[in-house]
Amino acid sequence: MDKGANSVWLNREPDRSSLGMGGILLIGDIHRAFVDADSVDHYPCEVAPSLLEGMDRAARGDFAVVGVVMDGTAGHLYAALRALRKATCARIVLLAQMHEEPIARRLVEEGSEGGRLADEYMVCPTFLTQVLGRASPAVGGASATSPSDGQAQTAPTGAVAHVDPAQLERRLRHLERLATTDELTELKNRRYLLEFARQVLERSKASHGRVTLLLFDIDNFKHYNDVYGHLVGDEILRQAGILVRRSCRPHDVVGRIGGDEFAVVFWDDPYRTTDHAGADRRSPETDHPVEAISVAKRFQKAFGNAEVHLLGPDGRGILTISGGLASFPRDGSSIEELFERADMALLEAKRDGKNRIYLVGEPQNDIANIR
Amino acid sequence: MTRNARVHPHIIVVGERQNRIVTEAVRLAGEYDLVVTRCDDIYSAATELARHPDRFLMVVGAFRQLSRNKYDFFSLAQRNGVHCCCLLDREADIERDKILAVVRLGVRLAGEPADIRSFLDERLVAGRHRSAEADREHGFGEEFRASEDEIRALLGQESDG
Repeated sequence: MDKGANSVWLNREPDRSSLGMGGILLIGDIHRAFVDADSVDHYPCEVAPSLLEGMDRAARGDFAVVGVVMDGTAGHLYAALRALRKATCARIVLLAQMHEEPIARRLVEEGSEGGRLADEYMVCPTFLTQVLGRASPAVGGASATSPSDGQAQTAPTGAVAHVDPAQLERRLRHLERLATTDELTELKNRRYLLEFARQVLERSKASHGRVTLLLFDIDNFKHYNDVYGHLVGDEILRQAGILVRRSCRPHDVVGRIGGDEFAVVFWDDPYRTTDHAGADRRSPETDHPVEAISVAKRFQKAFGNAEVHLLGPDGRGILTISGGLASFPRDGSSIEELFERADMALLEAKRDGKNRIYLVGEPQNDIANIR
Repeated sequence: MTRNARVHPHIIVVGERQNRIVTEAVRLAGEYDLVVTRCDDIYSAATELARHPDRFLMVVGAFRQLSRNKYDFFSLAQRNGVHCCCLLDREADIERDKILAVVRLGVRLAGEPADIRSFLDERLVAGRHRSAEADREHGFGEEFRASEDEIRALLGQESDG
């Protein structure tokens, strides 16, 4: 394998005169998106630190790919992407932080009026070669980064022409999915949820945002598992996964964090339009996270009406959950604190007879009593 | 009369169609026989500036709209030799320092939509003698900058002296 030939290319100074001609434009603070941002000069990329400068350059140049760092565009992303779409034929790649992934996915899959606003997204931090690979196999496409080890794997230069970017993309997505998803319920796994919660909490500290954590488990799950068998247990877990996901808003992150334990992270989505403003909206009188409570109630009701098919006619209306809700900044300032407080509330709900969700620190803390 | 797109004055009006400054600017553009492009936001306006580098361009919009994204649009316009006129909402709580900084970039402030007319008059007269290219190279002429007193008048403030 002639690895040397490709490394020479990677370390070569790009021909600046040809930038913009089928090259790559990166818009925003690239240090937030790439672990190797300091090496950007070694690649055929232009960087526009601000959105407006990015618009200007995108409209003037002939780029193959425009990468937009989502972080820092809050409130402006839709307008900017709409303008970018009109200004350039380039492939638009969103560079999303972990907590921005739900929005990025939505923009790529659904778009808004007038079509999709972006062609794909990448979860950051990542490597510059990942974006370069989007331009063409000849522009850095020989390198692929495996999310499992985070290392650039350099293919021989001669193999460049045979790399199928779509296939690489599919492989990457598959690996990402394996690493972050719970196989049984198809919800996020514990690792993803904890990391997401940590990132979104950091962001909320900086932006005075709100985060609410719901922890819940299925009442008497052990009994179903032991008496009716694991197939029934698995079906109950899958039902819980489907119903909780359906009850939540698109940007809330739902995960199965262990046996029959689930968690939901409710947070302020900075990209939501004003008619849905305040994702983790509070009641002005009580400071309660009203939307999180409403979602939790909705799920509690849906799960109570669910049917466990494997149990036949007896399988309807038998399922209940117990849970705890803790909020940042009210109930804790770290993920560990929020988990601990929510877990305590959950245990209290169990002790008081199950089938209830308690809000941390409230005298009448069953959410059923909160309007 | 046929228009020569390269030299015919072109006005980019930023804001929603129903906005009073947009309505007034579009009406005046018709009166002055200007080429008009309306953009919903500064991002579309930025791409319009980039699309027409050789044209004699002017931009009109509300201060609140044009100053979004940390006032970057004004710097971009200045780099492109494009003059901007913004309508300043007297009720808006805008820091005086920010307004001064914008004025220093050569942005013309308007207290009323009707003031756009004097901006157009000045620009159209000056534009005959001074190209956007010259503005890009040498910066805007002092004649387009509001004085401290004019700013105070717009803001409804008393003079410090």
